Amino acid sequence: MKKTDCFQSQIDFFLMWKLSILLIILGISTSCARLPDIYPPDSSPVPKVKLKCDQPFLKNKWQLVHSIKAVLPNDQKEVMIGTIILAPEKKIIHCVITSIEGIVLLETVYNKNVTINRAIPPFDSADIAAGLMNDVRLIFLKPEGSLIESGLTANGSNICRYKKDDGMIEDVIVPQEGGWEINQYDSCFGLNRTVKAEFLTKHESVEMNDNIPERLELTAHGFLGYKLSFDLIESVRLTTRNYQREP
Amino acid sequence: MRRKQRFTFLFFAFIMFSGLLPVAWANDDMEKLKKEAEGIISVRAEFIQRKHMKILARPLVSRGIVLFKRPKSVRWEYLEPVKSILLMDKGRVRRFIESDEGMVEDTGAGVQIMQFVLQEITFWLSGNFDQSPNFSSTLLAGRTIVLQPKEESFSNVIERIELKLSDIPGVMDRVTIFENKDTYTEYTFSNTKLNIAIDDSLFRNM
Repeated sequence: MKKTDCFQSQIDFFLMWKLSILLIILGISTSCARLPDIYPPDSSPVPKVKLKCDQPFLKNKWQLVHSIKAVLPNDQKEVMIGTIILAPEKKIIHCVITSIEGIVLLETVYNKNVTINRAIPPFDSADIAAGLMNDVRLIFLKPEGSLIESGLTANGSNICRYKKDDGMIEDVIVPQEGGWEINQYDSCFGLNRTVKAEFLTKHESVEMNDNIPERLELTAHGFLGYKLSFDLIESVRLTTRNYQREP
Repeated sequence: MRRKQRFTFLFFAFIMFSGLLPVAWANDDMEKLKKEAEGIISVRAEFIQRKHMKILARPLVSRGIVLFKRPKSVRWEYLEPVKSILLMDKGRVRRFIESDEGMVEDTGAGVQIMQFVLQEITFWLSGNFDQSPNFSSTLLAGRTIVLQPKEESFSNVIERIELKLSDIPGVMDRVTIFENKDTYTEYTFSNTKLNIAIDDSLFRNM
């Protein structure tokens, strides 16, 4: 084989390799899912539907106590008591997970960053604390991204679509018949988290503009998916008097 | 000068004597408490569990019933807010928790923690406060016993436990488990019945 032929075959191989990479990237990008359609686009300056979409998120400080039933990736089931102390205006969350017998398994605070105050195995992991706080923020705090679309879903529910800086999409869906739902998608529109809120008793009045559902269900989709079911035990409205401290 | 010396002597004598006093008194009374509990074969009591933390505006409250039968059988049952039952029969622990499918046996990590806790409860209810391999005990005035972890690794989870005994022999008024100065769980017992007939099956099945 001549030296030029050898050189040519190396170039061919390099081009083929580049082409394969390009095709893989193209394949991945074209395999991105499609977000649900929104009808009709609400283009008014202050969309009415947006007000409906604000309903799920707390405006005041609360101490919420739930029993949490967790179904973990290995199908292991755990029941815990979750106490969440929220200061929505400052986006500060204090979260305490205890066993039914009252032993503190994890005490963590979100105030821009996640801090673990106390944890015992297997809860003594930064990933567990960060994951828990991400889930709690998704459920209770208004999405941090910008509102990119609002309107109605195919079945007539109010929907607001938020896009975060990292490309994540959050759809907040408020059906006419009550309850609400949040769907979180990754930047490739793959379904990442689903939150469903259910009111077991009819809420004629909304307490202090806050509507606290009795039952919440969060599903983390994917290979290491899990499910958390929250049943409300108690909600205590916090004031400057009984809100102990801002961590 | 002599007066000052006498005062100093008396002061040190008092300090030394008062240092020895609780030891002798506590040992005597620990034996007395053990004797009191010897006649207790079974216990049934209602309890209220209050979890206190600095951050909480209101403590977390649970209610339940505890059954005990000598030598090592315990049924620790929560009625609300989450129904769950801890059973200890001759040292073997099982835990059941209410779910959508009814009461389901829990085999998670929590069972091992509770095996340890129930083991300690059997020491307390049978009056063997100083028999625990995990805690050292000190008797204080007012029929209060303080248990402190022997191992440092364990004291990271529980700082100390205080047992407040009733004036009625064999009856416990209150147990407080301190995790740190701001975080503690208080169990208050009421309607305690002693030496009643309790079927053994209650320690084996739901």
